[in-house]
This record gives sequence, structure tokens and C-alpha cells, in this order.
Amino acid sequence: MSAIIDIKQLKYSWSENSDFEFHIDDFNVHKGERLFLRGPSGSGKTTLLSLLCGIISADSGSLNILGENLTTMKAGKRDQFRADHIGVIFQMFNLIPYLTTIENVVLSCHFSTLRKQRALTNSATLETEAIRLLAHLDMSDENLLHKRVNELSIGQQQRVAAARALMGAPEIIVADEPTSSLDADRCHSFLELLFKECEAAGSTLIFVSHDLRLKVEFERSVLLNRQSYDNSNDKNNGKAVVSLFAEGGA
Amino acid sequence: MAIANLALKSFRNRKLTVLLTIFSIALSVALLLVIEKIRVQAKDSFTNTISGTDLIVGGRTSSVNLLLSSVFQMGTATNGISYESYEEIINHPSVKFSIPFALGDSHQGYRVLGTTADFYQHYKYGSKQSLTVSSGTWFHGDVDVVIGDEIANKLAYKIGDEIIISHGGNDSYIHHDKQPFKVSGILAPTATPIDRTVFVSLAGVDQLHAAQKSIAVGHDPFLTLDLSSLKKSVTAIFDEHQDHHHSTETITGFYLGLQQRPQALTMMQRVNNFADEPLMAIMPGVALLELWSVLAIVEKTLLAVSLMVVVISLATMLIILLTSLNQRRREMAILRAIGARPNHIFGLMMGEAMAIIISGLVLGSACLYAVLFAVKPFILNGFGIYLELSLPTAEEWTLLALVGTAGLVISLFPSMQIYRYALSDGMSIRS
Repeated sequence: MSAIIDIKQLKYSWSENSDFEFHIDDFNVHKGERLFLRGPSGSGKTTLLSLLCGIISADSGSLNILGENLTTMKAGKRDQFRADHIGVIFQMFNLIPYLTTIENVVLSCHFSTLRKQRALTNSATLETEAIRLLAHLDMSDENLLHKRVNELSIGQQQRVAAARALMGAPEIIVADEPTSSLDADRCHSFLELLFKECEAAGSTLIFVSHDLRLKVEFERSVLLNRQSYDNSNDKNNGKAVVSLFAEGGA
Repeated sequence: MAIANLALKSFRNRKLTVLLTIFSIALSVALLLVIEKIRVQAKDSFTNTISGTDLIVGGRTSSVNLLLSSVFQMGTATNGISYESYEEIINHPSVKFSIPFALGDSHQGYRVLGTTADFYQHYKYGSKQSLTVSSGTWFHGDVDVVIGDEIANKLAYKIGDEIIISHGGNDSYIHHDKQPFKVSGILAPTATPIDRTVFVSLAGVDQLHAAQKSIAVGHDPFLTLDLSSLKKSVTAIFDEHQDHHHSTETITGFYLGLQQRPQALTMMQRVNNFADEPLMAIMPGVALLELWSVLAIVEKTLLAVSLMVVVISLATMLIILLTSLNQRRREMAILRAIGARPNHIFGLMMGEAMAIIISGLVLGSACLYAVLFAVKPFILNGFGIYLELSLPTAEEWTLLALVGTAGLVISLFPSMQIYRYALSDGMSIRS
């Protein structure tokens, strides 16, 4: 399988004098993979996601996604790249409160003609595509579709967020602890729906969570850990190593 | 496109605050424009109180006082001019017309101006408009009076009504009630002090005071008076009119129209150096501007106050945009996540501000015309200022543009702030 994400010697620090440096030697994600990314708070999960999404740019090294190096890309192009190829689901507050369910889902096509075109190959209009996706995520109730999203339950909101991320079938879905506000039952069913739709869309899923129970549902799990530089070869689960190294500190 | 759509929906969500902001900007803009309009038109109206008259001549005083007493019928009338002096001055080739006038009496608080038919014929106001009667005719006889439009309206007088003229100013209690005058004409409105003036003939004023004097010196008022014989004897013994002169022996002053405008300077010299009496001549246009410049402080204060109101309403907008900032930071992170650039976020904020400002300006201008339309009659009645409902002038456009620009500059501040948030927050949701 080809690597959809390929990271080599990637370095990033928030500022010149920062104690910590974010460092990844070598890391790949394959197309269609379902990756579980785990790490305690402060381990640099947000940094990694921001790098992957092109919100921030690394200081050195290469971050290739779909064959394009984000490290050398200009900020505006990275934003466009994100709009075209990456769907994001947050922990909570995923939705624009004053828009309806459908309007929120369709929103992802506002900044990307590519995703708009892809969505339109599935359905005649963006709205019907949104309704189709929502139906797949158990949100087919007509009442829910035109409701303002702040009237929805948390579980429903997360499913709307998933539909928005999946709209226009982006190559990569990044989910940042999307289940942390859901109870165990809902969490499980949410994951199931998410997996099913990622597969249908052919999207690669990068799922960030500190909830160990979810690990078993994924093909591969990676631990993001803050380590001192000399322990850089520490392995986790026998898989690839993603590390954040502390410089000068303990 | 997408951004505009979002901004619209975001507005719908914050209807009340957005509408209130628009309303406050609209009100302040309307106030600013109304004050500007009134300012300009008051000045126009004021400086056009009298036109076509090249010089006003009266007893020596300050130019503003002469103007006030002769044109606005305010303040104290100046010392009189003897009729001989008057005749001597107007007997000059450069004089085209002259209008003598005598002041000093009043009717129910309105000044009485004794004059001749020359007034009706030659007096001009505004853009050289002549006086016209809306009903009746200009006075012919000595007991006829012509009244201004406001007097006719306020006191509900019509042609043929008898009126009593009081001696002296507003609070006078000496009434010439033996000498009722009869309304012969009512002038059409002029939006000048003419509307508040009672016109009688010089001879009428004369008779009035002859009777007065005869009573004062002890004549039996119940006797039938031989006015013409009394007049001479009485003026000689008892001159109660030291403070205000009004008989045909003396007039208060006169208006002069010259053949050519530049002759005014020479004529002014001639009057000011008149040997027999201390006289002075003023050019009404110059004196009106001079008087207006005294009032300019009021005008400037008004403008400053209305500008303050605009500043306050723009500050309100800034506050509303800033307080919504934290709440919207979350929204911006979501937009960033789906691919919005910091520029889009900046544009969204600026677009919202612009929409608020433009709606405010448009609504404000609309309010202005509505208000003007509503207050027009009251302004005309109360202040004698005729408000023209015309399209905004260049100055008003400038003011509007100024408010718009100021608003946009102010909204740069929250927009920059959210731009900075967009850069620093990235996709992490902070609230």
C-alpha cells in the first residue's frame, strides 16, 4: 500500500527559546488506513494535527501528503490544500451555531471546488449529498435536517460534524477526540458509522484520543510521547515511533 | 460569495444587537445631516433676510445694532434722523430708491414699522424676491395696517379687523386705544422678520403719537381732537420720545438702493461724514455675515455635538464587534478547519462591519428625509427657516463618506484582532 502521509526528520518548535521541540524521525500512514493516535495532554497532539492540516509549517524536514510537501508550501496554498483534501472533526463545538444541519454539512464545499465537484458526482445537488451522508450517519429525520444545530443533542452534533468532514470525500479525515463527550454506547456506534463512511468514501482516518478502550477498534495505534532526546528509539506497540523530545529540560 | 452568505446568516442569528447597532448609527447619521442641513439653510435664510438693498442708514450706533433694529426688529431703535437729512441724502443721482422707516411701537409683542408704499415696492428678500400680499392690499390710508403672515396666523386676523397699537416695546401698557387701525392687507410668508411685522404709514404713526401727546399734556381725552393743530404744539412742549423717534419730523432710518452696487462705498462715506447729524450706513450683506459669524460658535457647537453622537454610535459598534469576538473565535476556528484562510476570516469581520455601517448610513439618510418632511412646517413656523427637501449636497455626501470611512477604520481593529486569533489559534478551539 502506498503511503498517503510520509513524514521524515520533521522538526517544529513553537518559538526560538522553547524548551520543547517537536520531532518525528520517520512516520507513514497508508491509504485507507485507520490510525489511532494516543498521547497524554501536552504530548504534542495538537501540534501534530496542526502540522498535518497545514495550519502551521514545520521548521525543517519533510511532510508529504498525497505527494505534496507541506513544509515548503505557502500558507495560502496549505489552507487550500486542507480545504480540498482534509476533513476535520473536533472534540466539541464543531458546528456553526446559527446554521441548520444541512447548511453546516454543505459548508465544507464553500472553500473547495474540488470537494464540491466530488460531492456532485454522488448526488445532483450539494443538499441531497448532505442528506445522503446524514442518512448514512443515522440522521435521516426530516426534522433534524432543518433545525438549527444548537438544538441538536451532543451525539447528533458529532454525527453532523462527521458528515461535514466526509462531505466531498476528502482523502484524509482528522478526528480530534470526537467521542470524548459521548457515553460508551454512543461512542461505539459513532465509531462504527465513522468507519463505515470512511471506507465508503475511501478516506484515511487519523483518530486522536486518550481513551485506551477505543484502541482495539483500530488497525494501528501510535503513542505520542514526550521523551528526552537520548531515548529516541523507544518503541510503542511495535509500530512506528512518533516522539516529542524535550530539550534542555528534565 | 460564501463569506457574504455566512455573514448574512450570522446577522440573522444576532438580529437584535445588529439591528440596534444599525439603528444607533442611523440615528446619529440622521442627526448629523439634519444639523448640517439646518446649519446651512439657517445661514442662507439669515444672510438673505434682506436683499436688493445696498445700504441701511440710521443714527450712529454699532453696525450689528443697526442691523438688528432695522432688519430683525430686535434691540433698541437708534436715535432718529431728521426728515430733512433724509431728503438731503436721497437727493443724489446714485440713489435708485429709498425706503424710510420709523420704529418704536408694537402690537401684541410684534414690532410696528411705519413706512411708505416704497417699502412694498422696493423691499426685497431671499433671492431678490418682492413682497406680495396674500390677501387685501398694501395700506393706502393713515389708519390702514398691513400685517405679516405669522401675525395673521397667530392672532387670527383677517382683512377689516381693528387692531390697537401699543406704545413702546413688548411689555408696554400704554395703548393707543383711541386710535384703532384697520387691517388692509396680509403679506405672503417670507420666512424673514417681515412675517412678524406690522406695517403702518408714517403718517399713521404720527397721528398716533399726536393723540398720545395731547393726553399726556392734559388735554381732555373726551374732546374731539384736532390732531393736526395739536401735533405741533405738543411736540414743542413735551418730548416724551427721546428714546425712540417716530414722527414725520424724524424717522428711525432708511434703506437705500443704488443705481450701481460699487457706489455703496462712496455713499457710505457720504453718510458717515454727514455734517448735520451723526449718521451711519451699513451694507446689509456685510453686516449680516458679521452677525452670523457671531452666531458661528453656536453653529460649530451644534456640528461638534452631532459629530460626538456619531463617534458614540461608532464606539457602540466597536464594542458590539469586540464583545462578539470571543464568542466568534470558536466559529472562526471551525471555518479555518474547513479551509478558510485568515484573509477570509478578516473579510468576514470587515464585511459585517461594512454591512452594518452602510445599512446605518442608508437608514439614517432615509430617517433624515422622513424627519425633515415631518418637521418642515414647524421649522418654518417656529424659526422662519424654510427647509428644502433636496438631494444631499456635496458637503453632506462628504459627511456621509467621512462617517463611513471612520466606521471602516474602527472596524479594522476587531478584524485585525480576529485575524491574529485565526493565525494563533489555528484549529484549536478556544473560547
